[in-house]
Amino acid sequence: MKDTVAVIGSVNLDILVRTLSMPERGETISGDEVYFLPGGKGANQAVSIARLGKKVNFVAKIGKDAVMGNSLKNLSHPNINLKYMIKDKKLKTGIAMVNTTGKKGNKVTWYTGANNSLTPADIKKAEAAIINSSMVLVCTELPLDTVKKAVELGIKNKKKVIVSVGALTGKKREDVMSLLKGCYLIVMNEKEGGYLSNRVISHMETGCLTGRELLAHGVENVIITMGREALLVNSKGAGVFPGYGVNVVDTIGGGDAFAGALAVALLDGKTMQDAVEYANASGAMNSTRTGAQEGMPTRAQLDKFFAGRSGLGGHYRDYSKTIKMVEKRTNRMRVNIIKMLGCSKSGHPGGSLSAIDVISTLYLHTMNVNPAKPKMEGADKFVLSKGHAAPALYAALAEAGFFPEERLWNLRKIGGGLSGHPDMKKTPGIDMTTGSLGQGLSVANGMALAAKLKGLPTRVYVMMGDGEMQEGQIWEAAMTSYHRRLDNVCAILDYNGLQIDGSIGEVKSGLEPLVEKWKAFNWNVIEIDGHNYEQIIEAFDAAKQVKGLPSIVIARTVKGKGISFMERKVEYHGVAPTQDEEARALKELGCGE
Amino acid sequence: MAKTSMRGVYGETLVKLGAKNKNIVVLDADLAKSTQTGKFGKAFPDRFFDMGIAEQDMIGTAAGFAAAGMNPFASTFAMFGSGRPWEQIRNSVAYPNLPVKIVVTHAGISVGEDGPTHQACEDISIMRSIPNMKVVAPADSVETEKIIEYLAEYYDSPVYVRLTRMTTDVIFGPDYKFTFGKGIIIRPGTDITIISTGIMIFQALEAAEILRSKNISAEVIHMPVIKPIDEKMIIASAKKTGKIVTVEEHSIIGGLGSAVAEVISEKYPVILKRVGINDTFAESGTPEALFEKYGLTGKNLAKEALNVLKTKNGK
Repeated sequence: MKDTVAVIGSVNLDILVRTLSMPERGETISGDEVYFLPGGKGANQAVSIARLGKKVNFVAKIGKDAVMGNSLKNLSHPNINLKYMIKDKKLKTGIAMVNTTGKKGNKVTWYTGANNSLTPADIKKAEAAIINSSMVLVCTELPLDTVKKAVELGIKNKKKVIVSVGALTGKKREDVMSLLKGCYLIVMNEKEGGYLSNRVISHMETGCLTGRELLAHGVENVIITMGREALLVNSKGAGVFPGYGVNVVDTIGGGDAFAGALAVALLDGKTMQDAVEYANASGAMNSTRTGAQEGMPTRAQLDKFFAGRSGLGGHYRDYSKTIKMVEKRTNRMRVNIIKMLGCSKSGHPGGSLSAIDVISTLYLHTMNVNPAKPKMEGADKFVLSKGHAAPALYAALAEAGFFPEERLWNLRKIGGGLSGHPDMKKTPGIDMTTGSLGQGLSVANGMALAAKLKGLPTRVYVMMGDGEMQEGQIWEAAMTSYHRRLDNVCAILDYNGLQIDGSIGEVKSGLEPLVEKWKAFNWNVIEIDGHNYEQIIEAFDAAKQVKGLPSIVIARTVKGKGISFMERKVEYHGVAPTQDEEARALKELGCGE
Repeated sequence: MAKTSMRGVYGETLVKLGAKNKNIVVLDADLAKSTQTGKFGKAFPDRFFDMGIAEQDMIGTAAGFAAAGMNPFASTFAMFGSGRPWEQIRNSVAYPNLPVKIVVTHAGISVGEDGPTHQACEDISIMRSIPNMKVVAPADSVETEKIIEYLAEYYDSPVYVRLTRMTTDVIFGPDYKFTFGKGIIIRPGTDITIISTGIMIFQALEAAEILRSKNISAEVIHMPVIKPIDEKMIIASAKKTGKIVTVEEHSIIGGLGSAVAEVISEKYPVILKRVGINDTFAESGTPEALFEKYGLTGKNLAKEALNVLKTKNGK
């Protein structure tokens, strides 16, 4: 009973076709390979848990048909008890038609088959499976009455109940919400979370709103996964876990690898935070193999991966010399941001700290600039459209050698040459005066057009904020960049999810989904973790290769990143640290004074 | 004399300059036919940018061109080239002092039938208040040509140039020379000074004729540059006549009249009457009918001058 999970869920055969892109309506896309692989959330989770060394009582229903054998292939595992699985020759096994593009995600069409015939009565009959386990993991790829019964019996028998949410289409939001009360943990991705809370989630800050709503519904812990990242919300607060860089083959079953490993880690008595880190590692490993179950790691494999990645640089695929250099020098910039704001006693720490990793990478690695000749013809240009992050730009310019570091202590002081917002006439290295939101992209377009007319290799980088996307001029300019096919424009969205009056979801939720908006404006869109130097470097390299389209790097970031007490706090948007906070922040950055 | 079009000449001048000056780029916001920048677009399609109905983006893009060393001219109607992107002009153009030339057409009530939404009567005021910004309003097509030629080689600051929709008579000869910041005494006089800007020069001259018939000698000054305004000329004329009437196709708040008032009230106070749009929205109608109703005629101007001459505060 201890170390056993009752997994109540679905079984499918996944028919998987790999293509380069997703077909749109009316479009046929040819794939280079087809696979017939076992799948279904329940089966995937059972396999994950079994391979990680825990026992599973598996409750599911399948059809006794030609497909069955293939679906059950991996379930024949010594750790999986199949006694509670019902085979019905009158039914067909569920089939999922999966279109995968690898890294860029999947589209699934699902024939529910026998899964839809697993009834509450079946669960009641299988109550022993629950009684003889210490935890219940149930997925919503079943009729909701059935899920409800599983949750009820789990709670009645005093088991920790985890609900893995998926395939919500056709299910009523209220019905799903009503059965979640009393659950220990809900795991879902951003699409499913968005559906449950009637909002679009494309950032963790919006995810937090959903998380808090679910807590109010009587759920103890909420986890929302978004790509490789995971958000945990519970009564202690909220935290983002960035995940691990690997060579992604496809992301099918990634959520189930996550859920399975999470259950295992919790059974082992790990804290929720540690369990999420471990689960992230499982999801990452799974994504390196084709299909849902083929890449489910064994205990030994996952522990080895996790141990190898738990130290400094563990989130990188390749913790290279370049990354180490950028990391070290960016830390110095963070120190300088805190110090200069301490000197000026006013300014914007939150958005400077969210933006600094991207700005730093641009100046230390990506951009062709010459600090000795800031106006050099043909140099790359940078427009900080979100001009309030000026401290980040100043710190980067000083680090890159455009002016001496001592000047930073004059921030916002009369005659000091470092205005509250960037001023091209006062500070060497500033390519455009900014500060009033919404205007930078138009300016970048003008610069990029000029470069094309002059035949210069200049690339123009322009960083905007997410709140800034509420300005109409951004979208006027977005049309211009596409219309003029400005492939020498590379925009960056510092997507930290917060603006002055609250999270973007609270202030004006129509802002999301931002990724889709930029795609709809015909831009080349690259999504990254804006604090991961490897991803930042790769994104800028990839943008350079794209011809005929402007690119935008949507960098999901954390406001106040790097200073624990500033992270994800609206309050630090425009308030400088006090003397005491400055000292604490510098200590966190390893700069004790 | 045949009437000519300022905006027509603007377009032709751009074409002429564009052939010599490869740094000139022209932007418009879906009004290239009306502003006549389309002529430049036809001649130099690679240096012409129709930005669509997006004036804020147009100004921002022009700022980017200027920041990258190009010589941008941005055109649309006065209403949409001053009001809609005012803040972009202030922060992305004027504050960094980028030499963007904002050349607008269809200024004032002479837009006519389109009505008040299209009749910019506040643009001089709101442009004049921005540091670094210069404001220019030519009287006819000859002066327009000279001003555009001058601005093609001018990089010291942004400039706002205000043109008219309607065709006008020509007042200047081909030997006219534009001097930035200088007024022009069109007709010397001793009893009263009439200062006009833009196309109001014709009303000013008509008023001077009416006054002459009453044995009053009016000095008529054309002020093509409202900022920086020719203080010397205003003060010299004030000393001579002691009475000033200003006339502009613009609100009396913040325009030429205000600029003249600022000069004389601080340096040489004399009586002043401002003639213009009197803190009101106009309406649809032909330009002539609107000029009549809102007092922008030579007859009304002469009447206002006579009222000034009657006041005791006069010299």
